[in-house]
Amino acid sequence: MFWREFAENKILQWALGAQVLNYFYAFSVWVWTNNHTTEAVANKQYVCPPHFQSCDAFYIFNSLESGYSYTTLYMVLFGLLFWCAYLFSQKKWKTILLVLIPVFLWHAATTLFLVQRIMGNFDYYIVAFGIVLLFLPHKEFFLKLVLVTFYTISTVAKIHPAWIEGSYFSMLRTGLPLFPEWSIPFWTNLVIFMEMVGAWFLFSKNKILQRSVLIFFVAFHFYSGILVAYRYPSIVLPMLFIVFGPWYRHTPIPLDRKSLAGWVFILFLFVGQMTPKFVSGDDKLTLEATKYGLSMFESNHQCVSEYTIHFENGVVDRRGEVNIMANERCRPYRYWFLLRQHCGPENGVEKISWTFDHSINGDPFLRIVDEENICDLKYNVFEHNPWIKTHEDLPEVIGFPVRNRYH
Amino acid sequence: MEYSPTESKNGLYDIYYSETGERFVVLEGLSIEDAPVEYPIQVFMQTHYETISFMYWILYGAALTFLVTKFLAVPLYQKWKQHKNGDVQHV
Repeated sequence: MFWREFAENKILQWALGAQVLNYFYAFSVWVWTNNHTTEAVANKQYVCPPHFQSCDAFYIFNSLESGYSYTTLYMVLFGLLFWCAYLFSQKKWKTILLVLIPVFLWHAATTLFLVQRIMGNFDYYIVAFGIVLLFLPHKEFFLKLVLVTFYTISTVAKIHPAWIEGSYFSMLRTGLPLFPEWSIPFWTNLVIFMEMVGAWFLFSKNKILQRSVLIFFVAFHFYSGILVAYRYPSIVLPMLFIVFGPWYRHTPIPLDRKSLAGWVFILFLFVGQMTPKFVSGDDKLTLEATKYGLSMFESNHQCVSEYTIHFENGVVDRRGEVNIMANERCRPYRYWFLLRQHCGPENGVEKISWTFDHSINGDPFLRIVDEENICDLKYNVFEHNPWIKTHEDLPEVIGFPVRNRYH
Repeated sequence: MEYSPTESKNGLYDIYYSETGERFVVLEGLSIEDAPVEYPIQVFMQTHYETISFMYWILYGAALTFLVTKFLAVPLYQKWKQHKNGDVQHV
């Protein structure tokens, strides 16, 4: 665990404290959700990640609806975090790392395997920081590199009309905060450039250059909080300030055998980000293979989901729902997963027909799903699912959207 | 521009047509008054989107190639060479 690196390193000590804060904040949100409890299964309201579609087998806790085990678990986690806070005062770094292991495991398991809905893309930052701080050597260097890598790889999702044309924000009826609408493409392309290229100058030995880039990203995160509120800025800003701020020092690039694990992890981040590019179709429209990298503000979404449940007794139940919030990704997988739970003779259901109309960034609503019976469908994780239409399939054009709201 | 309402679907959305015949789907909670507006710079970026996105991919690849070469590949090669020369001298 290379805990000795913390002994005389103020930067790492503060970074570890920031990570404890990250876990506390994440759990304070999750404790009130029921998404991975037995009740979610009973109420048919759970969604597993595409790569682990039987995650409900691990839902063993009861929410307050019918028990106390879920909140008890979170109080145990709270106790571990509280104990960490005490251990900081004692400078017992090895013990802190050991205490954080179960915290890390629960957070990472939830983020990566147990749920689709309550975690956000920003939880990937917490997982990555946890891997570096708890397990990798050369922690200070790799913490810096993870931060800069996240900026860079996030631009892969931004090479798209949402950011190049600025249509994500021009399709919000409130536009871009603080800036006139005509200037949107200027600001969005500035962000792409700074994240792709400028971020690497956070490592610069030139103090003026390094500070200028730091100020840009600090300002960017404060600005982004106008839309995203506290959660994401509170994860990134403290770590950014701790490793690249007033205490910043040049960290030699580690090339010894010990550093191999860190370099493999960085490579993994780059490869994960490219995953959607290996699946045919516009991943912003189909949302296929998009959970393995960063995709914040990747597209402005609106969608209409209409389904008809045909019961074996002849009853037909027609329902629909719409999404008008730009930040709610219209994932066909999620809607399919939720609907699928109603299938089968045990529910008295003969079949469920479903249409799904999706508009991104002001483009027309396209009927990307039009299925007679979704109960027969399967979802493949890393290949295109033929029941989700791409632009090449020439889906039916339903009509143009109007401007929506972010949240 | 004027818009004419036509149909309404179960409280999910309303359909409008513009004077130019474009069909708008206004979801519940949104308004036809918020029809999109395009500005000149946005139109420019749309027109040149393919070129711009290609240039970004080139920039992404070039930046990463430069960084990997300068800060990883070259130092690793020099380290390997030193190690090899060190072995030769030792012999």
